Amino acid sequence: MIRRHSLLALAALGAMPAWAVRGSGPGAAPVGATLAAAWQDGAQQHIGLIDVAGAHWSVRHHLAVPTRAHGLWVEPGGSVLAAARRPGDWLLRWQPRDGTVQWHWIDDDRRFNGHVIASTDGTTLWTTETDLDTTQGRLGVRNARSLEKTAEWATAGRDPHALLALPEAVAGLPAGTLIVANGGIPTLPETGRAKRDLGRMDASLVALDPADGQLLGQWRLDDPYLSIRHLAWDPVSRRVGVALQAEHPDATAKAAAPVLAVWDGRALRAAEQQPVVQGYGGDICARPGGGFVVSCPRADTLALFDAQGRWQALHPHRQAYALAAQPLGQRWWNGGERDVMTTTAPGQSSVATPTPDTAAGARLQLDNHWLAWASGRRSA
Amino acid sequence: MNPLLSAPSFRARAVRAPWLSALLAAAALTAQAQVAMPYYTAEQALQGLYGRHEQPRAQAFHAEARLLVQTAQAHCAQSAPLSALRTQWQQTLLAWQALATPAIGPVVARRSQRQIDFWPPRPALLKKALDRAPQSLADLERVGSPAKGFPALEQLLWATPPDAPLPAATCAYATLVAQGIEAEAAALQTAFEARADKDWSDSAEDTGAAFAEWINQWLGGLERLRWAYIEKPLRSANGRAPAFARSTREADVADWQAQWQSLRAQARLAPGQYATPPAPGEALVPIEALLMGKGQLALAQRWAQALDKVDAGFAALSPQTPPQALLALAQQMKAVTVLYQNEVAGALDVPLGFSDADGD
Repeated sequence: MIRRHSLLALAALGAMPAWAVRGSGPGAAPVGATLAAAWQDGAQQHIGLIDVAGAHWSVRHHLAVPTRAHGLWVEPGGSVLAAARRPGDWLLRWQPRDGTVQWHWIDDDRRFNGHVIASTDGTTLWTTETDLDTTQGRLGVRNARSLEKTAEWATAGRDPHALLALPEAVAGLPAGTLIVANGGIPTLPETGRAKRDLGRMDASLVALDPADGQLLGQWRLDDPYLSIRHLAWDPVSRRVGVALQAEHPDATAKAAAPVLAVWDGRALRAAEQQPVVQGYGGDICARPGGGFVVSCPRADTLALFDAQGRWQALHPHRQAYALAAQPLGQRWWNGGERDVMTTTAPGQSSVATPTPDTAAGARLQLDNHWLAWASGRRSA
Repeated sequence: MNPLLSAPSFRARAVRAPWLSALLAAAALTAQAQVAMPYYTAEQALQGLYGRHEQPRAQAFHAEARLLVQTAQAHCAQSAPLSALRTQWQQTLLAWQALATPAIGPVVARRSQRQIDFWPPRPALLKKALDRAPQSLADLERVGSPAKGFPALEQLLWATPPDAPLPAATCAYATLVAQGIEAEAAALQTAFEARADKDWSDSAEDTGAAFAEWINQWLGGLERLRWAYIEKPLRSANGRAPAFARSTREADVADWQAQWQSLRAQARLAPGQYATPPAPGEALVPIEALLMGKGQLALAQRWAQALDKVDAGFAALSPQTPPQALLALAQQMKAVTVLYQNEVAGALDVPLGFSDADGD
């Protein structure tokens, strides 16, 4: 079955030019943005820029890529980094302003796992990867200019996926500490993305020293069938939200599984009092005012939690996937099957549908993540 | 079968008139599709796959691997030229690809691709292995995957001019690597024989898992051939010669064709099978037959047409085929992938884990 996903993230709005984010004030509608996204159009995969303006959204620029992209990162100059979805073999830098592209192909005994982030000073990139020989997780350390690998560290787990650098110190861990989600799902190069022997799952959240990759901490959930996949920093509560994907052999347990865990620097705890949302968290962002939103495409809903991981509400949205929040602002955005939902305050949302030109084209299936284009400093 | 197709006069005219040939082919397909194809169960599909298709291929691979060892030993004893060893290496590789494409059952469980076909070889590791001079298969187990198996052996065999013998130390290590391939081939033959004898009606869970693995891995094998072997080396060349897997373009083309032929055999009915469908449990049941047996005649026809386009592309390959033509072939393969992901797998009631359509 074709699953339609999308993702958007908006970052550093204060530094954005006027064209990047339009509209003002809580509840103002329409609210616009320009987003770097990845999508599939028929058999062709793309990354590109999507304009959300008023009641419509449309594609502004795009670049065809050879396989499906996943995680994105917007650099201060507006260039976009994109990593191939696992098991991926390319990483690229695309400058939408002039169309220039810088490709990097990973060594054949490694594969990208779909996420890349940059250091605050912009000189270093980190990519989550898998060693095909051992199937163990690796963190690639790369020269941001050349994209070439300069070092490689163990992630102390398998299937590393999303990662972030702590923007400030948390519970004794210094700012800049790398937080990596080891998804823990066993796979083999021979069988691509197929999950094997899920009884051996070992998901964990790890903290690594950005200077040398030293393991500073490792946290696991009690339930071994919860895969730890995507991360979001909540600047209000100073906690990391973790979107989970359940892999239970029992369908009922899988459907009822939590889709969120919260890490406060000391402990990792799964969400509480959550209704059934099919056990699949597609993306996550922080809520304005604190807390987290997790998209649940298999339940066609968004699940809202407070910063302690207590369930607050469901917000229906068909094929809800990509999420982004305005840092320290009031808005967050979600990409659905065909539309983009902008939420400006609790209960106040507007929906943008494709422009007639966009809708008339082949069906565009947005991927898991997207980001504001220009001055972004976040990975999705 | 349409009786017109067997009339000599029509066949002769078809040769002279391409349009008429195409018309007849279309008529033949229509006539073929009208023949009732039985409904095949997953048990029958697996009996045919493992009992009639994979087992002889495992035997053939083992036989070629034994010859590889013998030829390596003969070369080291100066009674066979390096060219003979190279030829036998290629024969063994093709037999391996015919068995391991797609990788299913014992090939996956034993991680045979990692054991004997890990790519790329690492020259530094290979040199280290040569320096260590392992003497036995037990010693070889301590050598890393990138320094043994087909790719490492290929590096050794093509590092020396074809009219010169391998240096003694290299020859000894090459023989040991060949023995490692032979040992894996022997183990695979045993494992595939066990699968051929398995009663697939014993466990619905095992049968469902094995059937799903096959359907998933067929797509994995196609994508591996399309992307890893053909398209990625072209797209990542960046002005240099594409880094295809093999040492010569002739070997690459033979490798690609062997992989495709194995995929096609599991996907497409042979012409005579429209009139005489594969006997349930007694013959390989290609994916096309599974679709027809489920009443998916229109989808089966589109599936066959998509495969035939790719088949024509592979048949036309030569070492001189330009990159643009290879990319066009890759595009046709991608169309097969999309059809498979969007319609074929669903029609067979198998969820795909190796798909562009799922989340991450």
